[in-house]
Amino acid sequence: MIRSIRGRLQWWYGTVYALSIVVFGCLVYWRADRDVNERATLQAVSTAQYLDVSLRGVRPAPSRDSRAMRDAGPVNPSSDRGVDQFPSDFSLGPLPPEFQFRPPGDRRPGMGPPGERGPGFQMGPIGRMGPMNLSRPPEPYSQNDEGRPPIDRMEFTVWRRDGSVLARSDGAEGDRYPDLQMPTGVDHPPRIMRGNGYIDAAMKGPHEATILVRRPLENDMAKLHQFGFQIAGMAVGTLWVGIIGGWWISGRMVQPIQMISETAAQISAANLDRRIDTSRLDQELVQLASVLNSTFERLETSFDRLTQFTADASHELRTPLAVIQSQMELALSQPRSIESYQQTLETCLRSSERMRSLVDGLLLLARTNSDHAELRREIIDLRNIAEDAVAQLQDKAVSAGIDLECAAPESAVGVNADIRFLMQVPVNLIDNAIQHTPPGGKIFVEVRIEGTEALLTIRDNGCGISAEHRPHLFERFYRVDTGRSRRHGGSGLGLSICKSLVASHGGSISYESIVGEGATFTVRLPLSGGLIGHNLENHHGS
Amino acid sequence: MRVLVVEDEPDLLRTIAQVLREDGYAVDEAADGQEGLYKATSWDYDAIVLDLLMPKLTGWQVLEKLRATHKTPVLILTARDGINDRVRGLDGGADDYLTKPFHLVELKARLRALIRRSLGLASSQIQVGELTVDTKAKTVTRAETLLLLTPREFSLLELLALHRGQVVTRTQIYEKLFDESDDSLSNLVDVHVSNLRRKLGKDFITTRRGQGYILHD
Repeated sequence: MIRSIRGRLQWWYGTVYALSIVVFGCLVYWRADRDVNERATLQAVSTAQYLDVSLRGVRPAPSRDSRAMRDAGPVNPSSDRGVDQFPSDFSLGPLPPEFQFRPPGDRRPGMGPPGERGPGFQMGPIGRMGPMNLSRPPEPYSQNDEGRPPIDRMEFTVWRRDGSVLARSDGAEGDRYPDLQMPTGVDHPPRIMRGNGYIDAAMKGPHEATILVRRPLENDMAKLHQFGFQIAGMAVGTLWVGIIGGWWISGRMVQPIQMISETAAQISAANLDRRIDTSRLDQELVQLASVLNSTFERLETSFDRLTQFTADASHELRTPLAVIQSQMELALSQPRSIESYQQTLETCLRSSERMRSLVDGLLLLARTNSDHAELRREIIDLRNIAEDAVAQLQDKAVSAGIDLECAAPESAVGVNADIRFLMQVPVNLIDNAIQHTPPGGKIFVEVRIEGTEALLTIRDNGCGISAEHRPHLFERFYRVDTGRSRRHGGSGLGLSICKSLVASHGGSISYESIVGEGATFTVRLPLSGGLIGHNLENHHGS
Repeated sequence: MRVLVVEDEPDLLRTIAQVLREDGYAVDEAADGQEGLYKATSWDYDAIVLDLLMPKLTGWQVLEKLRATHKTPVLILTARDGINDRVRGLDGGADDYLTKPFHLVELKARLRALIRRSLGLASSQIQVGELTVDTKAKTVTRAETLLLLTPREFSLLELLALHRGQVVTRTQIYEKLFDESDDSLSNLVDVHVSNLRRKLGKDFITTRRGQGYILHD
């Protein structure tokens, strides 16, 4: 879907944020709605009860039951049955401010004394209500009502038992609820009815009068809707702020990743020595950066090694090439004697021989390093290898005045190896020994079994290997003595080829040396148990 | 002109030495850094051809030790062609850098340029009176006429022309004309001087008895 971390982060964050805002807004709205309804209900109920109490305070017209009723003490609604006569000077007493109406044209209602108040109640057949006896002057409900929204006003109607209206507030609506039950207890709550845009509280009053208080909700609902719009507006606002803030934050979160990728891009473009700066990164990204850095480290190391190898190889090839080229140029620069030309050709031949051995060595090294599958392994006798190598180099040793000997056990020493490659190992090592042993010296080649390993040792009593050369001995192109090994046609690859060959056969190569007394090279190869007699016979015969 | 070639590859050393000798230089050879440094600090060479990767002392080490006492122009001749090696060589005090394999003509041209710069000459031609000594073509002309000189005679004339107006001693001439391999007597200088006089005319080279020779403008 969205293939960007930042985008996805933003998407999820925005969704969760919007949902929580919607839920929160709904909760607030629901709560406000409930509050409005509860408050209105409470007002209606308390008004109804107030009217009820007020009506009880009205002394009814004398009747036969009146004395009994008064003796009953607290007003008992059940005992009021039969009493339905309200006096003609009926007065409701102080009314709560909700009933105080502003007559048209009166700009400051409720400011004057109660007596000067404009018409408050419309009394049914009794007629207009007189001045109210307010035990406590009502608080003016508004000091400055110009800026205030209109508030919902209570309406009430009181019916006599026969259904005629006893009292009714201005513009009051609503029907008498005929099925109202007479209250049974002292504490009788009014019946609450919810209509469309109003709440009714109806109850039976004294003398079976019916009290209905209607609490319209239009203004309150309008205010509630307004509040709802405000909430929605604020929600949209905070959502925007949140989304913009989230975009900024996710941008900052993603920034280190961008930095890492930028650095990585720069690193991949040729300069491998740069690293990602982990000091400014967060913990989660440090690991990633460290992994990348260590990869770059290894890449650089192998790259350096390759570069070094290429440089060394080209250096080794350039030198004989330079000899050939300069010799040719020199020979051609002027007519020369036959001897001179011969000398030139000899020099060129020597140089090309050196290049050939170098190329062979490089090729061998590349093969053994890159492709182990190329090894055609079979079980061969290490004794034969050693003896063949000694035989191959015997002439060279003799001409150098060196005694070359070989010792091997009676039984076969089987190793699983490719004879073409493994043969190079004793040849190189013996050749090396010949180069570093003075005339009259001795080279001793030995094959033996030690535990599960086949050992091939080449010991000489030559000059030995001094400490300065030891760490570099198996490095490619490393020469203990450049001049001498070049005169012997050495490429500087012999020992590194040996090491690589032995390693590709699962073995190891090591050496011991005392300066001035000689050196011993030991090749260890895993002994192969499955040595088959006829196989060896065949090889020996061939 | 006497130059020193320090090179551990014997065939190459021999070849370079032969080429330069045929070009009229007196050439000394050194097969490793130690020998090279010894010779470079023992004689006053006009230029040194130096290999970098050598046993005993590397070319860089030779250069560092040599530069402590001598300003002999050094041409590095090496198979290492990396930019870092070149910079390291030139910063280490080398005057020029040539990579193997190389063309002999380029080696000779660079060596000539190196020597010319070290002597403070702008061109490869030296004018002495009506004589024109061309160190590049190795020719001497007098009034449009080409004079035929042997390489040794040319080297002698070149040496005197470079120091014209100054006395050049017989030892100096001997050292510049003959290298360590020359098994010759010092009176060979007199032979070459008399041969030059025969070809150029008697008045050109004056003998300061007991001191040496001088070439007047």
